Amino acid sequence: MQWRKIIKNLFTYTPSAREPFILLEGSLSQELERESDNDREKKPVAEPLQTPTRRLRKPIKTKDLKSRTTGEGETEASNSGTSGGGTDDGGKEDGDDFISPDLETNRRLLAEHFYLPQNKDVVIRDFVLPQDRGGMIVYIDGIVNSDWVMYSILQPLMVLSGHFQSPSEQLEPTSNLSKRDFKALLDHLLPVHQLKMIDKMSDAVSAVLNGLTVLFMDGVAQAAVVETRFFPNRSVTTPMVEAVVRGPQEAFTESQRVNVALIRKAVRHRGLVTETVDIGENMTAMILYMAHVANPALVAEVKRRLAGIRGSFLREVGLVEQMIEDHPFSIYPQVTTTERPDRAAAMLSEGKVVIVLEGSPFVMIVPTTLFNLIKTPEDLYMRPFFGTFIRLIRVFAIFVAYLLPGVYLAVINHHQALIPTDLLLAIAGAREGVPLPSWGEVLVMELSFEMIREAGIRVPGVVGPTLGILGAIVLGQAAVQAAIVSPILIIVVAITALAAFAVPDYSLQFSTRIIRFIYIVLGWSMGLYGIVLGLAFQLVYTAGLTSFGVGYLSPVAPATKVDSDIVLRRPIFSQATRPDYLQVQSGRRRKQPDISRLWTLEQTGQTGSKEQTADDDQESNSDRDGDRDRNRDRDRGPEEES
Amino acid sequence: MRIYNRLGGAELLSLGLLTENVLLFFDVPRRYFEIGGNAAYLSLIISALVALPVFFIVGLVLEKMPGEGLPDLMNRAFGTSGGKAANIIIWLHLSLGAALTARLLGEAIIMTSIPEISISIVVGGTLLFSVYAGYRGLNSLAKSCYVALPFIAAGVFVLMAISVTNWRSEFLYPLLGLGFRNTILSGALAAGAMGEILIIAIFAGQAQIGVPRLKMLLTTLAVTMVVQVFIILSISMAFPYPVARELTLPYYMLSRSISIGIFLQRLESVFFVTWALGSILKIAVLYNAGLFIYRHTFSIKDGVPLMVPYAGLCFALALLPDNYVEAASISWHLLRLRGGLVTLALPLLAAGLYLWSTARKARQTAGGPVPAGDGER
Repeated sequence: MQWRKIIKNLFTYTPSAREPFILLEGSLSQELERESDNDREKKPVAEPLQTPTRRLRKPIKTKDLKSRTTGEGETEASNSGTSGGGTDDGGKEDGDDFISPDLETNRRLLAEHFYLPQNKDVVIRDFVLPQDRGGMIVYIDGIVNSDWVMYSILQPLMVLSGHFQSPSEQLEPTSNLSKRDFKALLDHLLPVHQLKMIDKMSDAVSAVLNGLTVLFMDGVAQAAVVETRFFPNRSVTTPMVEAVVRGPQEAFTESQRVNVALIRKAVRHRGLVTETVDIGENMTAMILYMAHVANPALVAEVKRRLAGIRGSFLREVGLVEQMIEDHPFSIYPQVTTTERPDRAAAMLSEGKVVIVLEGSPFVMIVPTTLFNLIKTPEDLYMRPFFGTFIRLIRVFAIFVAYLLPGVYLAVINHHQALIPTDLLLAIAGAREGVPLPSWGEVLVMELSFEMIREAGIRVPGVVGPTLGILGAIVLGQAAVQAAIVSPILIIVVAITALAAFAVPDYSLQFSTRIIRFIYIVLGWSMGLYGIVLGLAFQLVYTAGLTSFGVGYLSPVAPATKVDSDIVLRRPIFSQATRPDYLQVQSGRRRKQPDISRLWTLEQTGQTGSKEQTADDDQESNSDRDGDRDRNRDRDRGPEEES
Repeated sequence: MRIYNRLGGAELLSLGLLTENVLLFFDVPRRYFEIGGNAAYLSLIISALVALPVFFIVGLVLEKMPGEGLPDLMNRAFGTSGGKAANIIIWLHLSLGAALTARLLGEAIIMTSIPEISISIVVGGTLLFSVYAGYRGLNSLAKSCYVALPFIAAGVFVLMAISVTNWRSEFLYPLLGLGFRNTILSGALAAGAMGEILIIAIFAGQAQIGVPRLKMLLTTLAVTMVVQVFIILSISMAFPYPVARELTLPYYMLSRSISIGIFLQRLESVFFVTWALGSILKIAVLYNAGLFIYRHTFSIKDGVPLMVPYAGLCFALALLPDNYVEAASISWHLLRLRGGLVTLALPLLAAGLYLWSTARKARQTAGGPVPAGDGER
């Protein structure tokens, strides 16, 4: 099958494919802290690199996957080649990958890697120190800030290094420069905010591809990676998909760093941890979680799944979502995707994990439940009654979106008695001249509407909405006048479409649109019994779904004790406890008014709560102590605990 | 089953409540009218009171067997072979229960809403769902029951609330129906009608450690008694006794008797959704309970290959009765009245034997006198 080949080629690790080490965007300084020269010296002699084909066949061990993440103390493993270090000629010895002290050798290797001189945007700029020692910098034009390159790298080296005295020896070209002196030179001269030393050519290549500038010096078997990234980015704009009336009007952009910064802006807590995981080829995912809240088992599972991804082009959350979800063939989304930083921040504070990818204006949030998908941030920004009302409308809309056409068919075909006589006569009269059977009418109208919707999205600019309106009004009116469909069906289809639009999550909208057709068939063939049977199937199916081990219908089924925010929204001050289906670390058990509405206590003359609320860390610690037993059980995973 | 996680207390409770109460949607109220007359609700209370000590003792014993359920209790009480025989009897009871309920549902659907549909389509569709639910696992099914239960209960209570306008308290007289003796005696003999609460004991081994089985059993019994009394009282007050005892589907007729204004005159289809959903889930629960006991009895690790053949067996059993009346009669007399021997007497005997043997072992361990004749079983 052709499509199988295409998919296989897309996601299969082939000998020609590479899996290079990826420099971690925005985290050079963190790595520098972790890495020390001593550790590097302890690094074992590089083992012969296995061919990619053999590595593919070899089952992935958890240890290997861990080494792809950049958690505490794991950077070395990445650097030593477990995370890649692959070269074009996969059969090469790992020793060939090391940077040579000879500048010309390095130049030749870079030319091989970047297909130079055909490749025109890869720049190799030679320079000479005042002491006549040669060097070169490599970068890709257009994705680096040329001012930084000029004023932070070239100018200090070419002008100021004449005044620099090496600790042990002069920068004479006749002798090899030690790594220590090279580092000292750069530390003294380069006014850059992030600098990292690397030993391997694959690392250098990867760094260049990620917009960094790599500095080679003659006589040094090492290179320096300098932060110069300046990718062209869209600025922060208002949300397009999750628009709200009240609340922040900021949306994520395609820049990973900007997205993380937006979340940081919303969650100003030192517990917010940002880690990076290599996924696929030359791709890094950033995972964010509240270290003092999130379940460590959940964080580890997210990292494990991300690190286990192999693919050549995973630039969108939709692609990665399919690679990490529990049930990839399910019709339901098992990952929340959002373009709103405030929504991501809210879910982080609940104990969930956020995954940010470069190039995607959406972030993923895991685990997710069905009830997460029917909420919007605006529910919380409004008064409790308004939020509850809107949610109830939304739940009703979901049922309407699923069932209305199917129920319509069931009623007019099998349960006419349900319809009052006058209405029944009116419907019969309206359908008198319609040539199609009722199911044909419904299918024609539903499919037409789906086509109009799809066309409205694809048609560019302002024409799209116009086409939608034209399609809906003109086609519907014309279809009724031509007696192709009955007027009541237009009402049914229109209400169904409106109800589907009321579903806040785009993926869930899709699932309603598809499942609706199943109910149409069931309603037409077996009446309300078919509808009920379909509901039962859907219920059992949904109840069996999990998202990262958390039940999809949590916290309703399995019923958990603590979550005050399911459909009915209580006042925000009474939502002190985090959802316990996430098995978070610090589940506050006391009443929120002690914490958030301190003035009510002050009015009644009670004291002592300020101390409770002053230090969130103390609270977390005490909670942690209190929940020690739960933590022990938590390691078994969320689902087992449920 | 593929997914077999532990059940929570709420899920276990919902399994019991759903299984026991769904037959009220069919002909069970009528049967109580037959045996208790106007005092049908009193007979029902007597049935529940008779069942109470049985479930109390069984629950007490199960509390002492963490991680184990009724099939394990049978094995412990009657030994390996005796336990297998007892489990097979329960399995037959559950299989017949699933099959007859499927048949009753099918006939009821044909009678009330879709006359043109084939009985095999309804029974087959329902059993197909049972197979699917079994494949998804008991946990999924239990969660589904837990989610569906409030909707079904809401349907019942809304119907009761709407039917208040039809209530006539004089229909309750004479208060003691067919007489005090008849009411008490027939109610006690119908205690087997409460037997399907035993589902909780069967699945008790699948519950999380710490779920109070005794409490679950007694809570289910209490709630069942209240709900059923409520429904039977409603029907008693909505229809005169001679009519009520002839109603094939009293609950359906009650929903048919109500109307809201001029526009909404035929609401039975709305309530049809609730009782049909409950019935479909109940059949799936019975089917899965039967499958579970069968697997347990013959130590079969993977139940998936058994699912379709077992559904085929249930399908065949469901089509054996000629019509609704025969299916309902078998369901009441064989599974409810005489079924008490399986659902009440057998577990009680097993629990008693277990307690006795435990006490004897305790005496032996303590070095106390062993009663004469107490040899090795």
